[in-house]
Amino acid sequence: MPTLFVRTLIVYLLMFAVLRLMGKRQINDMQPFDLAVTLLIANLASVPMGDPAVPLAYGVIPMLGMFIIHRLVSFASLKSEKLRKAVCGSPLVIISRGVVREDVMRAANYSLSDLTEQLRLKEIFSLASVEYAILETNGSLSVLLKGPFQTPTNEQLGLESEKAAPELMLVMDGKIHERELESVGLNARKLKEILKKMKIGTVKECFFASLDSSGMLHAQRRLGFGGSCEAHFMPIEKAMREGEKKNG
Amino acid sequence: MDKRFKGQPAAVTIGFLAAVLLLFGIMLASELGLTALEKRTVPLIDEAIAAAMEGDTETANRLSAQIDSTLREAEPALMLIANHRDLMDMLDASNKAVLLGETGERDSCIEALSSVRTVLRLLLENNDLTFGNIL
Repeated sequence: MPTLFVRTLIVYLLMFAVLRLMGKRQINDMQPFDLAVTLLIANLASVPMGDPAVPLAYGVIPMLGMFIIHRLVSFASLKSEKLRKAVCGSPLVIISRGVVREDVMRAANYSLSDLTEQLRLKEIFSLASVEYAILETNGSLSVLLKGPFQTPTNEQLGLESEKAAPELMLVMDGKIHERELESVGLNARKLKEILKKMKIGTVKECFFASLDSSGMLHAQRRLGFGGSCEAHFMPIEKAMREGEKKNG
Repeated sequence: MDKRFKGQPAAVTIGFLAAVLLLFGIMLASELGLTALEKRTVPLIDEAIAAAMEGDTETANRLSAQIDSTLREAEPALMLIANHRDLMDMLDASNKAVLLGETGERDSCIEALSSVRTVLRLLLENNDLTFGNIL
């Protein structure tokens, strides 16, 4: 039995490395071909794991082989558009200028039920509102609505909008993220001062501290450090000004 | 910034090269090991069968013992590349050939030696890149 466990460990580590090196895409973003290769590798891994009479090489060699071939094909697909089309296929225009293309749907074995289901998942409940629908190579549907059904943007409405940027996690689980901290011009000492103003004594007590694009700092205390675990908000500029005044 | 090689992340490139090296390393080791085993055992098996057919049980028995000891020496390395059940069948047959050779049971001895040769051929087929074998 320990042999089985050690074999499982070896195969697990190898499969982990192979799948990580193949790319960290989600299952629903995968091309059907990528999905088939991933499933095949998982299946190959199970062969030597479950049967001690089968040498590890019977799982390792096909796994490495699949990985090498897949990387070579992926790399060649990046360089050659023809190969990319052959491997991944081409997107299909299912609805063009509001007209549902029955011929394209037939060729792709894509039924009206599939189309309406995918549209409903995108919260579109009327075919009449769709100008273009494109069936992507990974099976998802991209939709362009007709003009009157499109959501107006801030620009179209003449509204001023703040500069958009993703939220930065400065602290997670009591640990400082140095790179994010540096990118907003802060350091650990300044952050500790700011957290104290937000009633969080130390970084270790901080469950998370994030900074959004509007400059609002959002922090919460971890469980087990006493006090409340409610969310605290403070504009970063205000926090920094107060810190400078105190130091001055 | 991640280091890149030909547009690919360095970790992927290193992993790819390591996989290529490992794969070719295993294949080369198995090719060398099996070829050496084939050279050592197949002529002995043929000789042993020929001797047994001629009724020279003494030579057949001596060669069977030599085959059995060669296969047992190679067993740990063979376990890395061959199905353990096939290996056990082969070693059982070689052991049987030695025991039958001692008692002078000619036909059963030939049968056991043929079994050893069959399993050995099966193992060697793994490295035989002929069209029929691949298919």
